[in-house]
Amino acid sequence: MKGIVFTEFLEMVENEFGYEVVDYIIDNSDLESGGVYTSIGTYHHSEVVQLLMNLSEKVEMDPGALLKTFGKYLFDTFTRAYPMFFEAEDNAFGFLDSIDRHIHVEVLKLYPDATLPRFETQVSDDDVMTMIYKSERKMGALAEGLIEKAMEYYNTPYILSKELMNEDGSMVKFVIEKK
Amino acid sequence: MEEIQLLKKRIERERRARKEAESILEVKAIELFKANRELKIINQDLEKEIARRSSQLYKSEFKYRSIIENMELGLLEIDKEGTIIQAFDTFNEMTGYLEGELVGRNFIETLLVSEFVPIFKEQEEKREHGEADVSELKIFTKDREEIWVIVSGAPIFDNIGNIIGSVGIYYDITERKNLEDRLKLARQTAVQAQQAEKQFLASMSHEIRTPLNAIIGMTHMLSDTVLDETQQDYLEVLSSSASILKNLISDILDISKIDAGKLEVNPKVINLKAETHKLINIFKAKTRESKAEFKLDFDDRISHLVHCDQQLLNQVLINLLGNSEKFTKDGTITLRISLKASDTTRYIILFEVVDTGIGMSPLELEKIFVQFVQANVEIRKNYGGTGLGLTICKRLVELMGGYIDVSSQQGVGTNFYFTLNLEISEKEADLEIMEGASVLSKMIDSNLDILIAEDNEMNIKYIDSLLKKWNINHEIAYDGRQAVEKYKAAKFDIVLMDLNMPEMDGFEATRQIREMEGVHSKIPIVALTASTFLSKKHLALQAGMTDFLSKPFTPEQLAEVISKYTDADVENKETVIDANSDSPAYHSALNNQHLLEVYGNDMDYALSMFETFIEIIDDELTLLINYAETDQKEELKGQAHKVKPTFAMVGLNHITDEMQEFEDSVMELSFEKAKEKVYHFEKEIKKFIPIIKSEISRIKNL
Repeated sequence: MKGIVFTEFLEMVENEFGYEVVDYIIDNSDLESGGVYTSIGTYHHSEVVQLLMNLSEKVEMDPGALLKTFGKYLFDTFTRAYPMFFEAEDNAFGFLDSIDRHIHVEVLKLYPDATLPRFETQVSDDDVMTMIYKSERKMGALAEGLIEKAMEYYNTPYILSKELMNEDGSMVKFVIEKK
Repeated sequence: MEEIQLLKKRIERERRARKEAESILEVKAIELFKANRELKIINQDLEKEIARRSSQLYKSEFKYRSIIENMELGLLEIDKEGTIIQAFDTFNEMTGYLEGELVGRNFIETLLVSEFVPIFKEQEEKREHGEADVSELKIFTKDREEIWVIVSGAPIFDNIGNIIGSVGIYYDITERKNLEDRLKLARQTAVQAQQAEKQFLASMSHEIRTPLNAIIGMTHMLSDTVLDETQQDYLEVLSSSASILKNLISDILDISKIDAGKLEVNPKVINLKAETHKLINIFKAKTRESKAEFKLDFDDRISHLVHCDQQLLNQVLINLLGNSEKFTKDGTITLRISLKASDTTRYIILFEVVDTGIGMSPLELEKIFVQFVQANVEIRKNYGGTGLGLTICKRLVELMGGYIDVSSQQGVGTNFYFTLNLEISEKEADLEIMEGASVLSKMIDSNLDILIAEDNEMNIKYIDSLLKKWNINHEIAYDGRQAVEKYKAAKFDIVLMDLNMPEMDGFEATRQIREMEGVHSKIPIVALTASTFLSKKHLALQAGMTDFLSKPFTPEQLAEVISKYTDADVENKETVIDANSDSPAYHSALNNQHLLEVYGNDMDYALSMFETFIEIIDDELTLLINYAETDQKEELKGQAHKVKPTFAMVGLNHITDEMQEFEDSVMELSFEKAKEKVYHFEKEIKKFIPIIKSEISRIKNL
């Protein structure tokens, strides 16, 4: 998993709960990296799962809700770090559609070893988009946060529904309907 | 304290993260350096490749330029303002300038002949749109001489695709142009001359025809005067030469009319079948003397009337049939008309004239349609003609929208053929065909084919002469067996059948014919019988005969019976005798009334019958006596039957009647009685022979 996810996650934790909590979740996890992350590095995805679970325990919050909040946080980071991807699209569906077709293609050029989630989109009519999230990381909630924030970013009122397409959550169907 | 500890941990983590980032970046930097170096190498390779291709391009351009130069094509490059950028060697040679002399000068001012400036400017405009084109111009040489050039120009582009000028390929066509001008002039002169010649021919032909008609007319009148044999011979030569000349002139007149485009096609609704029947009958009648046989083979699927210029079609067919006749001394000439294709509005009809004549060699075939050219020199010597006939045919067929061609094999025959695309008449076909049929029936020279089965020479001669006179085709069978054979071999419209004949009698022949034919196609068979007995007639009917004609019969009776059983309306114009007219009177011992009924005013006909009588009578009489003396009753009866009509033909009707009685009773007569009767006949007949002979010399001297 890309280092930016780790650095941004820990930054969010620090901003929301203080560095003590960051220290706590690092110390209480069994991390190959020893809890040292740089945004340009690559780390095993189980580390973020451990950090998330420990955080959930420490702050007594649902890991899904935490992950969704992180998704929203990460979106803002992305808009700052990679404005070109957002300028390239002028509407929310266009942007969501460009993740798989365009943004991830570019990411893979820079990091050929990256393992990226799939976002398969389909616009059934002008106002409804179906997006299927597929990832062995099973972070559908993170995707949900990113989608919600993307809709807000493009000032598009929406209704989002979510449906697990299998039990382990590696495949999630989102239906986004413009209001 | 705890806070310091935490801070320390944090600093330590961030230090390690920085180090890690630095090492990652170092790796990436090395990767970048390597990638950059590879790019440089690729770039160098590309540059080499570009250099190599440029050099190739230059070489090939040079190659083509030298090819063009070697082909005596001058190359000239000018810019958009018309200033000459480069003039290549051949162009310089063509115009007489030295190398480099033209560069920098203005093309229009220096080279172009002023009247071609608009053409050139138009061309330049096209080139500005990137179009290449070709035109013919006149340019000046250095010595201010004008030369014709053909110029192919194309735009020149710079390396980013803008037009910067044009390149022209120049070819000196002065020679060709001069030749062209001379040819044009020559052609014009020739056309004028030809036109004058045609006009001359047309008017001359017309002028010649008038006196020629007078010559022909006078020749005919002269031949009606009393001439000795030599004078007669001279007159014949005169007459035939005049008609050859007349034919030649009318051919020439036709050709000149066609050439002048004065001949128009005037299609009218015609009955093709009836018309072609008429035509073929004319040929049949005309060539009675020659051995060539004319046949019409008409495709009955052509059931409708058609729009066709009959006059033109006839002219073509007459020409072709006449041509075939010339080269077919002994054989068949068939006019075959067959349907090749049709839809609701049109027929495509193939016309063929097929002969079994001398044929032509492939070399002769090639020349056959050429004006005034005959297959070979011998043809003109042996067969005459102008060599225009087939040319006329070809033109006329083309005029009617067809194409005539010929196939031939030496010694086998020739086939001239053409197809016409004819419009089917809108008029109701059935009605029209009926009308056509009645038109056909009104003709005396109808298309009838009659089979005559007869063994008596006099009768044969009698019927043969009448039918010839009426232009009716007929064939003669000398006995019943021959009649059956002939019936099998050809199609006839009616059979005239004697009852008593050698080999096979008329009854048996009729039975066999009836057995062969289908239920729906019963041919009329008319018995020729001298028998007055009803039983004979009954037998004839039982055998399948249709009707009777009692011998001796008058021409009128024959015409009547033929008309009755066929479509043809045969009239015997010469049978109407005016008793008060100064018609020939025969010897009073002969049955004058019968002779007049039979021969009318046709004394030649009567003469030939009388002569035939004298020729055959001795032999016939001898046979009769032999059979009587050897007591061969059957043969005697047969001979009596055969010879009996002969007497009526020379006006000895009473002998014919007596002979009939003898024939009927001979089987019951004793040997002696029969012999006595025959001797009586001999005496009686011999008594009349001098009278017949005197009649012959009397008629001859009429």
